[in-house]
Order: sequence, then structure tokens, then C-alpha cells
Amino acid sequence: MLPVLIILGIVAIGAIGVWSRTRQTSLSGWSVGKRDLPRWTTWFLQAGESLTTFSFLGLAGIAYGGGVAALFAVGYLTISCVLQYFITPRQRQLGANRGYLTMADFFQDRFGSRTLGKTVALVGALFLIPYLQLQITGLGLIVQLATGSADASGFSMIVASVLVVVFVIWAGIRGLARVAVFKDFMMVAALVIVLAGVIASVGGIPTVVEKVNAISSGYFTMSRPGLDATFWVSSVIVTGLGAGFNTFPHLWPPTLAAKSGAVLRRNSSWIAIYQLSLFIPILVGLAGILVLKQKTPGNFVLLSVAQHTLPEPLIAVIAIGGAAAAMVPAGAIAMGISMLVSHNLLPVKNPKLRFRLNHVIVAVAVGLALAFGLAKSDIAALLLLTYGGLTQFAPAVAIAIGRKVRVHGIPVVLGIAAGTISVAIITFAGIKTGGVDSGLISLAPNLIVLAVSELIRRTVFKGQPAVPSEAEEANDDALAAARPVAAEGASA
Amino acid sequence: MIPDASGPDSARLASGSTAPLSTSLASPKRLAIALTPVVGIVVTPFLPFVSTPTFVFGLPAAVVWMAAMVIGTVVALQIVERSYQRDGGAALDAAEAALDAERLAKLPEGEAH
Repeated sequence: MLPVLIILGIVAIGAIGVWSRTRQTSLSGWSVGKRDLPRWTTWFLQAGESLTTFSFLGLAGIAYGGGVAALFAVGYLTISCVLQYFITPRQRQLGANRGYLTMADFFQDRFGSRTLGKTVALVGALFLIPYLQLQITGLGLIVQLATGSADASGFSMIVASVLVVVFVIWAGIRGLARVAVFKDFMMVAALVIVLAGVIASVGGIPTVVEKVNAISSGYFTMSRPGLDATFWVSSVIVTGLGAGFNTFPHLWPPTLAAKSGAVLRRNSSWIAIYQLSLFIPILVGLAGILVLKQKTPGNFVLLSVAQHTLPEPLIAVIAIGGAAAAMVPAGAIAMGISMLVSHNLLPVKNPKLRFRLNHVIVAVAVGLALAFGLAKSDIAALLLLTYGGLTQFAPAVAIAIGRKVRVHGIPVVLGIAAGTISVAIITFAGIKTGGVDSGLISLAPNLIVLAVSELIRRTVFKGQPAVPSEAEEANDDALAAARPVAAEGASA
Repeated sequence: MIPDASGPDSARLASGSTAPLSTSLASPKRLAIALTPVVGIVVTPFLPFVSTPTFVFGLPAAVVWMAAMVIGTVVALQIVERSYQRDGGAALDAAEAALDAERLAKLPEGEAH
């Protein structure tokens, strides 16, 4: 009965996504609409990164092993709200004035460099594939844990992937927004239900805390191995910077599609309140110390606690909430990858052909991630590169949002390359960093290479401007006159 | 790092120019207010009530502290937003809305939904 309920829930999520009489017919309409998404629609899209499969599977697991160190997720997400308050309105303003559809458009246009645009598109699309797989595998794991059936897990992954492809292709960002609203309500409901189960079965929160403290007070001091103060400071800073500077390509459509900078600003000023909901999986993880067997895998903790404390129909609600938490980011990531490839990487001029190719790429990207997930291929190691690697775009974002761009595109490319290679070397060579995040360390070579190569450029090409005149905002009046519809992307 | 200018933009936007908006949103005062809870978050593990097991009303002090930082962030950003609106941000927002309305009117029917 439980697998049927969960599959029906997943189908309902897909149906919400395609619940529209009209299919999107252009790449710009599909990805950013008319750039007029109202406040609440934008809110749910912006909040997408706060409640994901990580909230369900990861956070409770970290709390189960490391106690209050799991609060680092609350920390970096809150910091990202502060940075986004200042940064995203400017990105949206540039996007509306100059017709961006993707993050790569932003870099290409601001630095007047096709090489930079294509580099960002390639790196961004590659790094997002393992992130997409994570969502689909996470969904399968949620269903498997809830039902105890590996068959139901594989089947649910296939059904959810097909539905994601269908609603993303059909409705684009509007469909994603509809599912995001449903997802957030389901996630909050699911977390409250899990917490209620813990309180009813184990005791109130003070009781749980007291019992865990009796086992080990180390759970409350951020002193567990690998989850100490160094881990906290470096991961909070680097992930906060990455998310705050909007370095994840799939987070750009909500920014570019918002009705105004004021909408983004007002949402960012309130959205940190969402992070309070993350205290629930952390407290559930602590309760797991009391009710679960030792060495329970971290990803199993929240749902295992739920199974210990809740009746079957409520487990279905939690699993459907978890499925929604996977399907919304999966849809956004698939959109992000397809836009970068079809719009920035493929040399296709015909808009209709490009739009069709875009749909094919959505299906290919989700299909690839599903295949990796079903085959249990270990591309998770690449995910280690995703956060640290994409954060290497942060210095370039900081330069590009200025009124005038004073750095050439090639030094920026070289800096990003140096930072990304550094992350890869530290990760795959197993270099010990004393707990400091590889992404934070790699910002050093990134900035040094950027600064030195820009200095060389200024010396060798003395007097030459850093960016071509068409990249200057001062020329926007003329550009706007020549482009009556500022909706098709900069590289179109 | 973040554009910091004001005044002339309001007039330029009011005249219907599509030239870039520029604001004093990231003024030093507003940045200082917004970054206060950020500093509080970063230094969390070094706080005496976090580095030793401490409990407030039965809850771990780290949890209470982080809840305070989340709420403090919201409060700080509300103060920043009000300050910005008071210092001319409201006029810039209105001008941006007018520009966007003009741009939307130029979009062909069926372009997007």
C-alpha cells in the first residue's frame, strides 16, 4: 500500500508541474518568462535551495554523527541571504537591461568575452550533472527507506525522472514554480510530523537533549573529529560565498525571471526565517542517537527515526515531501544544464531548432543522471568538486556586478581554471588541509592568478580598455533601441 | 565591489532612460548593519557557551544562538531595507518598475505566459 501511495504522490507532483493550458514556445519564455514573476512565486523559487534532499537525508545524518555542528547549514544559508540581498537585484537589473538568460550570458556580456562565457557554461553544466544525480538517487533512497523495497526505489526514480522531464519541458520556470510551492508546504508538514513523532515517542526536546548529553557532551560543542571549529568557519564562509554570489547556474532563472530587484531584495530580507525549519532535522538527528542502532548510515537517520515513531500513512506523507524536495531541484538543475548547453555552447542560430535541442538536452541530462543512479555509478566524488568548484566563480561575479568592469575576461578565465584545478587536486590527491574547505583554499590561487595575469595584461597592452565598448553599460540606451525585445539572451 | 552611487540615477530613470540603475544600497552603514549577524554566525564555535556544553531552557546554547542569529539577520535586513527606502530607494524602485512595464508592453503576445 505504501509504495502505491508514494508513487501516486510523485505522479501528483508531476501533474502540478504540467497544470497549464499553454505550452511554452520560446527559450526566453520557457526559462525566464516575461521577467515578471511576482513576489510569492519568486519566493518559492528562491527558497528552493533551503529545503532539499540534503535537509531530509544529510542534515539529520550530520547531527546524528556530529551533533550541533550540523547547524553549519543554517549558518551558510543565512549568510547567503544577506549576500543575495545586495547582489541578486543587480544581477536581475543587468539581465533585464541586457537580455541574459543564463549565468554564462552574464559573464560573456560583462567581460565581453565569448571564451569566458563558454568556459562558465561548460564548467557549470559538468558540475551540475552529479548534483542532478544526487537528487534522483536521494529520491530513490527516500522511497526505499520508507517502503523497504529496492524495486519501489528504482521504479520511483524512473517515474519521477520522466515526470521531471515532462513538466520542465512543458512549462519551464512556471511549472517549476508551481511544484516549488507544493514542495515547500509538503516539506514543512513532513518535518513537523517527524518532530511530533519524536516528541510523542522519545520525549520533549529538552528530554532528548538531556539524554544525549548523558551519552556524550561532545555532541553540543562542535568538537567531533572533522566537524570542529575549522570545519565550521571554512565551510560556512565558502558555501555562504558560493550561494550568496549566485555561483550555481540553476539558481539564475529565478533571479532573472523576478518582476523587479525590489522583489528579490524584499524576499531575501525575509527568507532567512526559512532556516528555522532546519532545526527540526537536526533535533531528529540527535533523537536518532537514542533510538537507532550505532553506526546507522547518516542518510538513513531521519526516515529510520520516522519509522520508529510514526504510523504508515504519515510515512507516506514524509516520503512524498522528500520526493518533492528532490524533484524541484532536479527540475531546476535540468533547466540550468540545458540552457547552458543549448544557449551558450551549441552553435545553433535558429531559435526554433535551439528550443527543440534544449528539450532534448533536458531529457538527456535527466536520463544520464538516472542511468548513473540506477547503475549506482560512483560519480559522487565529482560532487565534492561542485560546491568548491562553482565557488571559484565568486571573484568574477564580484568584479562583474560593478558599475564598470575593469578586468579582462582572460585573467578571469585563468583564475577560475586555477581555482577549479586546485579544488580537484586537493580533493582527488587526498591532500590534508587540516579541515579547511578545499574551495576556500583554492580561492587563493584563483585570486593570485587573476591578479598577476591582469597585471601582465595592463603592462603589455597599456592603455587598452579591459572590456569592449559594447560591454559598457553606458551604451545601454543605444543597445535597447536596437533590441526592442530584451528577452532573448545575450549570446543569441 | 557593489555599485555605490545615487542621486543622478533617480532623475535619469524618471526620464525613461534604460541606462543602468545604480544605488547606494551597499553603503558602509548598511553593510555594517547587515554583516553584524554574519560575524556572529562565523564566530559561533569560539563562543564560550558553545565551546563548552551549555543549555538554555533545556536547549543547546548553540541552537539558541543560531536561532537568534537567523532572527537577527531578518531584523538587520529589515532595518537596511527601510533605510534604503528612506534614502531614495523607493524612487529608484518606482523608476525601475516603470522601465519594466515599458519593456513588458513591447513583448509580443504569446512570448511567454
